[in-house]
Amino acid sequence: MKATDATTYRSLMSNISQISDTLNNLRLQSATGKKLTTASDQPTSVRPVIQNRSQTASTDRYIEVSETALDKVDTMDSQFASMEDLLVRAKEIAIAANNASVSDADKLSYASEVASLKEELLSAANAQYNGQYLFAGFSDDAVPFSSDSNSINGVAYQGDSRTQELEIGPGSRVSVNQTGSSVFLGLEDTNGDGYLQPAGIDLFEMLNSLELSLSGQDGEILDASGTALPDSAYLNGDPTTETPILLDASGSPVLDSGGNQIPLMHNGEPIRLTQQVDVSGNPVVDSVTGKPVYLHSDGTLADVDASGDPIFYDAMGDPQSLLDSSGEPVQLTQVPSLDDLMTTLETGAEQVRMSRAETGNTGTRLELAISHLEEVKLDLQESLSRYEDADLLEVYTEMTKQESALEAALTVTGRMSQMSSLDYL
Amino acid sequence: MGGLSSALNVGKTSLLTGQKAIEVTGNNISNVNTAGYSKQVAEFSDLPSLTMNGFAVGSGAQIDQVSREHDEFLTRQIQDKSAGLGNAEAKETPLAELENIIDISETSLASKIDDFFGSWQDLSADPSSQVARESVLYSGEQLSQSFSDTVTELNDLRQNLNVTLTSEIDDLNAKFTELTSLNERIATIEATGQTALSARDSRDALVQEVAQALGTRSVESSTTGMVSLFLPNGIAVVQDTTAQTLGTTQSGDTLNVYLQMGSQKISLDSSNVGGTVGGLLEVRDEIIPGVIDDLDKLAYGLATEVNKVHSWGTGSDGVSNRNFFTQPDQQAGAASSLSVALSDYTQVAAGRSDASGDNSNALDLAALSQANGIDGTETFVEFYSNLAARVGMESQQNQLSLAGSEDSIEQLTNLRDATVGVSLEEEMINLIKYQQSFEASAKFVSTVDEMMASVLSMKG
Repeated sequence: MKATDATTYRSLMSNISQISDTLNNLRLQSATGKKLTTASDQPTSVRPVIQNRSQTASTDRYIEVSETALDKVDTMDSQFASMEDLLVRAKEIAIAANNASVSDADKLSYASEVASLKEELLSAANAQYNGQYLFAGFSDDAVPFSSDSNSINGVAYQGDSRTQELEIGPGSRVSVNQTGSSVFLGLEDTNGDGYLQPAGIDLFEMLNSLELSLSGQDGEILDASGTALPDSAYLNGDPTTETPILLDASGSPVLDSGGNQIPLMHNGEPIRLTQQVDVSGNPVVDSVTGKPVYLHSDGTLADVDASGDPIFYDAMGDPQSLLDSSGEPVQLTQVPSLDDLMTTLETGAEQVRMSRAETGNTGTRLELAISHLEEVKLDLQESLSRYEDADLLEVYTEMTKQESALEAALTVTGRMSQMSSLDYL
Repeated sequence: MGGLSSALNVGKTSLLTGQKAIEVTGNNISNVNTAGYSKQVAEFSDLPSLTMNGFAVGSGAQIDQVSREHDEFLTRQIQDKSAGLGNAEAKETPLAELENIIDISETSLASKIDDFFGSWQDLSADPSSQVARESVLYSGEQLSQSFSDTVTELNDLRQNLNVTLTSEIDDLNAKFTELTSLNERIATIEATGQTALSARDSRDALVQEVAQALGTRSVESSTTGMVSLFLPNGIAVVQDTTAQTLGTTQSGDTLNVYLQMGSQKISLDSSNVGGTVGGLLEVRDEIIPGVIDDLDKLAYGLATEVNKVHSWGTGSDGVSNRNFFTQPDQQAGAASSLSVALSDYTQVAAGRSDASGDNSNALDLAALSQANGIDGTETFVEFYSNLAARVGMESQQNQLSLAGSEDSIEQLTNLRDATVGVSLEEEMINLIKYQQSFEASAKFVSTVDEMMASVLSMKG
């Protein structure tokens, strides 16, 4: 084949432009450090790279979320620690006071210490993290526990029983908070029906009972407002029998069809009805009758009459209303003796310890998750780098190679003009 | 007559042919850089010999014709390959631009999708925070803006292609007219038995240019020497001395390209034209609309899934069953019209209730980023990454075929140069050769002259 000047120059030109193009690419790679700048550089890498970035971004978020959760858990743990301390003190008081040599005056001063412990417990129950109440369920913008002199335990709970979950990994969620209803009131949705049942100790009531017991009220039966029942409210008018009876509106005993007084007892305890609440913190009403649903202190549902009002059956098997003249349910409580309180105090402290352990476990899980996520992030970065980053050593080597090729091509082009048949004419 | 004067005559023809040959060589040298120029060759022959006194004596040389070197096979090959080159070249820039729009950088649409779901994740950690709620709204707006910006950029790219198309078509119409006049010139010249040298060269170049722009095939009439050009679907655009006209009509945003055949307009699309115009039409009518369709599908799927979960939840203002994005009526146009339907951060449904700590809905929304929201098989980000990969693949394939076309055109042009191109060395050697023969002829004439002088001096 005959090579004309045009052929030679064309070939040289196209080679030189190819080499400069390659060199330009290599220079770009070394300047950016990336070998993948547009999709056409390596279309098969596009999906892994974008996926990888997406995963890195979500891993960063998971780490952030886990760290926030960990801070919250740490704050909760310190609250649990102070609660444990105050319950230990309550038990010490109970043990110290449960001694025949302790005078009533001493007991009273113990009682006032218990009252202040109660205040401390209340402030722990209203602890905040970041402006949000820790033990309020979802309703974390309102004070969950407030003093309520009209209730047996002395507090009213405004929170709910839903626990906040956080996602700390793909599909992996962890509950970070414990609700005030389960930690302090011992109420939990044990069967998953969306309604709360008594499942533990009401810590406020426990301290309340301790205070009352120390104040010399042990054994007395109190009504809903905490007032001791008059003698006439006991079976045969005898408070030592500790069996309260049903009274009519004028305060006289109601008699059953057999002519006997009707003891207000359920399962060996004075009848105490509380309205059931659901996990959202709303009082439960019967969907048909629209009347409140009441629970006995052992968690069983109170019987109801046709209109939905709570009743119980007397010894003759006749229904008797459990609503007083003002329509309030019967709520009787017996102040326990110090002896009886010992076990309750221990169970209550155990309840707090369990909650603390649960929180501790969450903390450990979060710490593990964070360290795992950090590892995942490193792996992701490594794999992203494999797809995206230029191997600088390789780039420089290739660059040197291309530069020598360019130099050679340029030299040859220069030589072309030196060799001409014109010189020989 | 005969003798010395006839010898002088032979010398004259020799001097004239030598001159002519040097002229041809000079012409070749001066056209060494003319694109499409075919080397011309002076064809020598001896003049008929005369019989004198029983001897046949030659009467010198002449140049029969100046012919043009030609290789039909290579010319045709170059024309064919030009169509492919034009196609790939036309697509190169718009595809590169497309890659920039459907980008894979850290600020791509995929990152905006991640940011959006990430903001829900942030909200789930602090559902009562006004900042987190506003950040969800903001990232939602950013995402919708990104979608509509991307579609706008794609439409701008289509508009730019229209501008290129219009100028390409004006250019082609001028070339058609030029071709018909060249056809006419060649037919006229060649009817006299001569070869239309430069006209053929110009026409070959022009046919190649039209092939590159439109993917036409050429057929040369063996009788008249005129060429006709046909589109890949067989419609003639140039026939001998008549040319059809290409035109464009604007309807809405679309520029339609048609071929005027008498009163009939034949609409052209990438299926019946090739070359540059075919490539531009393919990018404009197939590739970009395909990408917009995919973006619409992504936007529609995303809006629908997000709205579904969002409407389960309740805003901090206590109202539930609200859409986060304005729900698109249909998939078509969903990307360009995507917008956030909420106007206030209190409307963001972080929970299933309006309790300040309720993050259950935010968790479910954040989880959508991992859900197979498109056709139940791909996550949103996966769908985008597949789209970007497809665009990249298209661009990469085009780059490869462009490099291939450029290579083969270069090879073919080199081959053509080897046979019909001007080689300076060859011309130099010819120059020496013709100079030598011219000098020899001059010497011959002066020798004959001397001889004549000797004859004339015999008298004196």
